[in-house]
Amino acid sequence: MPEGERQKADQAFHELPVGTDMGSIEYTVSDQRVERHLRATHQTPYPERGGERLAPVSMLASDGIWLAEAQFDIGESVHAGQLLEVLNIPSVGSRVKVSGKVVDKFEKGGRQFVVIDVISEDDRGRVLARGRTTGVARYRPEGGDR
Amino acid sequence: MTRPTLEAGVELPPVSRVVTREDMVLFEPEGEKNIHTDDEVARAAGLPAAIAAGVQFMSYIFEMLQREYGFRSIEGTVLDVRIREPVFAGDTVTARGRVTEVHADGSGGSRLTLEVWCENQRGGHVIAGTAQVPVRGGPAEGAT
Repeated sequence: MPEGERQKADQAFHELPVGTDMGSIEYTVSDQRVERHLRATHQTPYPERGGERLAPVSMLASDGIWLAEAQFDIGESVHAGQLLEVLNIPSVGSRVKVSGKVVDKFEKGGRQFVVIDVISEDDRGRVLARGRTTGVARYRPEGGDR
Repeated sequence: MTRPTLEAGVELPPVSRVVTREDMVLFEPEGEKNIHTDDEVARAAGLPAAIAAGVQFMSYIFEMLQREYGFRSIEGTVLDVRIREPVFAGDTVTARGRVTEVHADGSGGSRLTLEVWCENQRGGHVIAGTAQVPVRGGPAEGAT
């Protein structure tokens, strides 16, 4: 979650109509954030490129979730699928802007799904990744009636 | 790096990790209390305990691909997965991949399609999907 930028709204995730602009969030690819991610995932840091330190692209896989969480109540949701097209590797210290919109909603197996298309760009104007995040809008464990 | 064999059917060396509670907490923003970090929140959501975030395991797949195809293959990679089974602290998760298609990209490299997945110690697929990976430098071996 981008530090200090959380502003959960009251509108529930499953109520969002297709076409809803999810707005945007921003975060810094800080040393602390990168270190935390590397430790969590046991990844080896990438080599430097042109004297620039690089952050693991797997950090970008959560951008759709952070965007949704920052803007809407996804407390009853779970992540069901993720597409990530990596175009550029983020640089440590850069600022990332994540924006997106709802592109599909469907029901399968009695569960409602919401699909968000997300773009992550850095402060140099580079598109880092395009993502498609699929979430179960309201998760109910089998047999559950939460 | 030894040049990988670019041929359909080839299986990649797996990447395996034991998922700890610390990993699950570190993967989330600092101070976050949710189904991935807190058993009580998870139980309130109908889960038996906190579960790891599914996208956490995309990192295992990225690492597996990078080890095999090199750092230069990262940009241009497309990973598309479905999250299937929950992972709990203490589970062992292993990323695996198998090349399904190899195409010459027209500029001396190749573009691979792989079936990729992460399985737990019971053989259940935690996440599963496909990866498309550009492999740069030199003609593809066994290109179709």
